Amino acid sequence: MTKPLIAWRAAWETRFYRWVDQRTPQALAISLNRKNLYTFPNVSGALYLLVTLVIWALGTNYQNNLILALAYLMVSVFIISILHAFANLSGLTVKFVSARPAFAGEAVAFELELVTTHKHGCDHLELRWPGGDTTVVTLDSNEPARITLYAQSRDRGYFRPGRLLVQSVFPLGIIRCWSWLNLDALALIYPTPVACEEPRHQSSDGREEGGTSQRGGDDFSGLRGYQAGDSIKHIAWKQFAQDKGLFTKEYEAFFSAEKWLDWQSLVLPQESRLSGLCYWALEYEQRHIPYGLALPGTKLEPAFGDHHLHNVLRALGEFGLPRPGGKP
Amino acid sequence: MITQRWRRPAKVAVMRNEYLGRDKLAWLLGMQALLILPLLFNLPVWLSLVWATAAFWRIQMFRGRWGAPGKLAKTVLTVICIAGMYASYAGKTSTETMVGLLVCAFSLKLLEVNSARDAQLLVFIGFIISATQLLFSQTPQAAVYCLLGITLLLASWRSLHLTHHQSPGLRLKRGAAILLHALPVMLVLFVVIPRLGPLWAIPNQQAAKTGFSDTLSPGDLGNLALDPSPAFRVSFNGEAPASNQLYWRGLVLDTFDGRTWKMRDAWGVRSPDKDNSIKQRVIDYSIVMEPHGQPWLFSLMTPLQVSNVTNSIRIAGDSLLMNHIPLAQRMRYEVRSALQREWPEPPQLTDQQRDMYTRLPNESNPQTHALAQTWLDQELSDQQIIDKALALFNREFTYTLQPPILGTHSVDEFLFQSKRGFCEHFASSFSFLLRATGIPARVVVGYQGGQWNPVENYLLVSQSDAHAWTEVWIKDKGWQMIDPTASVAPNRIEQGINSALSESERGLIGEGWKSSSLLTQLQIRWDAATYVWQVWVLNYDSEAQEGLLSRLLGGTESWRLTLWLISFGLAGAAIFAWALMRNQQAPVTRREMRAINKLERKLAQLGYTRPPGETLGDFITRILQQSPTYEPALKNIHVLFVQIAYQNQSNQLDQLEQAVNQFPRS
Repeated sequence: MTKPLIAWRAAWETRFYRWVDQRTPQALAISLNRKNLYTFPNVSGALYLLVTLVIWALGTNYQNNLILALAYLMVSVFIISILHAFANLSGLTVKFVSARPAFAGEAVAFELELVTTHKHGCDHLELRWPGGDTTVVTLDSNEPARITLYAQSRDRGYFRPGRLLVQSVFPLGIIRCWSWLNLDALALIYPTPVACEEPRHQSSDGREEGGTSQRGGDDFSGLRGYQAGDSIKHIAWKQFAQDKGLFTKEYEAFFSAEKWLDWQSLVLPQESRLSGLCYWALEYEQRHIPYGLALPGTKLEPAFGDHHLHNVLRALGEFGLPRPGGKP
Repeated sequence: MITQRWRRPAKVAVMRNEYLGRDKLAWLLGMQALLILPLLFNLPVWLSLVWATAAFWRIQMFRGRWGAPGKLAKTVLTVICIAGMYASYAGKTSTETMVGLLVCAFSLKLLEVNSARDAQLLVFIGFIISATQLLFSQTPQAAVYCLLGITLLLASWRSLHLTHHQSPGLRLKRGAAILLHALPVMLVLFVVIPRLGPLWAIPNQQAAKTGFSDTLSPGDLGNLALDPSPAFRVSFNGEAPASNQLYWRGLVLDTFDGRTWKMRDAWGVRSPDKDNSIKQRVIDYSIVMEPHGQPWLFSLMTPLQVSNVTNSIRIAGDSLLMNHIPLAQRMRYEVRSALQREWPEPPQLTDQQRDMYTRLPNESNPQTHALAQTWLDQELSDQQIIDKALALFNREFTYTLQPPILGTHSVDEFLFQSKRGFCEHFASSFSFLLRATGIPARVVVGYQGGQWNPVENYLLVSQSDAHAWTEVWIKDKGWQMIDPTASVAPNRIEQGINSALSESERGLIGEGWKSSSLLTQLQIRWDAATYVWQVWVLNYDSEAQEGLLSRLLGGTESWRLTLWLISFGLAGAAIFAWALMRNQQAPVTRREMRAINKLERKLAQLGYTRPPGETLGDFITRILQQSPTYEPALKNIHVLFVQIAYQNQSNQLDQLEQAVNQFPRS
């Protein structure tokens, strides 16, 4: 396409979607009705009309009224299927329930609740975020159902998946009935974890992390009583110094020292820095090493666990961005 | 409410649409079988084998036993089909061969159908197949069968897009619902949309030739008398003429070779006669003619005006009607005829014409020539000769369906030996006799009489009403109709063929069983229904359309039609909106909650009410403290409810509802 055409098309699309948005304002739950449902024949519909035309020509040429009646019946079926396709979707309510946070570049799972009040339910319903995969569902009348619909994320921060395409060609596949739902859906996107050099951080007690940490294969599991032949390196000197006795540290991995994910410790562009911190947060979490986060303006004390990880990742994801209104 | 927190996961059916499941395939196969079946009456039966092969192969493909046919197999199958059609129709292309190839394509396409999208193409071909079925038969039965086929077609089409299981009955019901909703719209379109003439020339359809041919030999019409099938149906504007006036002229045969009467020259060459007569007793009527594969049509006496939709009929010489092609389809035409004519100046025959209408082959039927000569020797006038001949028939001759077979001198043999004959014997010998005395005469073939149908007020003329009579040139009066059969068997003319025949011969034309009045009644009603079907459906043409629309809407101006169409559209939209509202159900109450609400109503009758805020568990515990007899029932209900509402076991719903329905029994 030539440039002016692309520009013209983009302008037209903008105007069109503005019009669509006017008809369906953004909301957490949107019901489909005549205001926001659109119907139009698809390619199969055009083919069907062509077949109808052939049959009409056959009837006209042979002056056969029954064949003409069949052609008119086919036209009527076409008209009726518009109504049936519309009825299939009308009365459907789509509600945004929640979104699972994801790393930038991943598919984000949005949980939606669907319910239809139409007596025959809703068949062959297709849902898709822009650029996402299509999910086909069937709904029974008045039986709320939940689906998880994935949208492709790109950048960290707060992610709006765009207009949800809800469409169906049921019952005959010649009429497409659809709507773009401007759902108030929002997902938090963490930075993509990118491996980089481990952030060096002077911990509050001034102690450098142990070199042993580089060698272990697995997680630290605990202490056990000293047995002859245990490596001197593995003796728990701290406990010995406290007169608690001689213990051997059982290594499964790193020595459990506190780690700090410090903004200042990485010398990289902003996004790469966040990605690196994200990588190490995940790494520490996996090794059960308590880690803290120090960002300009944000500080999280060392800890580990799902909740902590989420807080850290959220801080990384939100960093430097205004928090939009609405539910995250 | 807590139940709102748990939701059943939706029935997700990704990819279900992509491949053709067992149910969808079964529906397609059933639909194909139903659509192909009626075509086998007109097409070679081996086409059913083509379909069966394709269906079997497709089923084997579905079961994973056989692979999809390769390029070679497909080519071989196609070639077999084309060769088969070629062999069956000896290489001629006709409508049948085209339809046959379409059926082959319809069957073989099955092997290529892998997804719902492909299958949609099969459905589209199915529509064309059911249209071709209507090419061959347009009876009400065929139309009903076609509607059944379309119902199945719609049901299987809808099944292609279904994403969940539905019972076959429900699928059929929903398919029929689409058809039912579409029928009123179709009716409006059928009535309103203007009809066009044929868009381009189509290969001439060949209709089987029925009725008589353009020659008449002794015995020809006698065979027709055994055929009860309808020839045409007539409705009169105004009163119908008396039955002795109902001579439906078809052909004039004016050349005799001693045995057979023929037409002098080819059809359509002759121009209408110049005619300065004054027409009297003018009547209008319309005829629905069954296709008889011949170009000639029928009218009473002197047709003055004739019209049909395509304007393909003209009035040819000798006051005959002729269509420009042999009649391959049922056709309706309107005629205005004069039953009587007065001549202000006496009409004249040219010498050439007089010679032609008195010409007889030399040396044939010498006895008749001798008889004519004796009459001429007596110097009788024309009228006296005619009276004498008719008196001869009246005296000595018998009307019978089974006349003896006649040889070369057929007129001699008939007049002087057998003296038993059917109408063509009388017409032929009478004309011969007159020509032998020098009076111009010719034989006319057509139909006489008909059966009046009081249900729809029309006249049914059957093949068995076929008749032959004579037209004689009478000085100063022109051609006059004289029916020698009337002097032999007046009943034949007044009351139809049945009353003219003897008891024993009636059985021949199938009158024996018809005598039951109930059966006759049924037959008359059925024929009336057929007539209505023909006039209002099969021959609903632009003329009928205009008449009906003017009657229904008060006119056919385009603004009026537009206004009516818009109001029809609005009415339709209103009905749809109403139906849509009716189909919307009350706000969401889930099944388990509905069951519990029902239980609460039952408990309320027993005196237990659940205050807001009390959980179901607490409520039940409280009841059980007061009346432990309900323990098994209530405990069961509670367990089921918890399993459904909190553990997502929706398969227990039926059990819960059953338990609640049975409460207080356990």
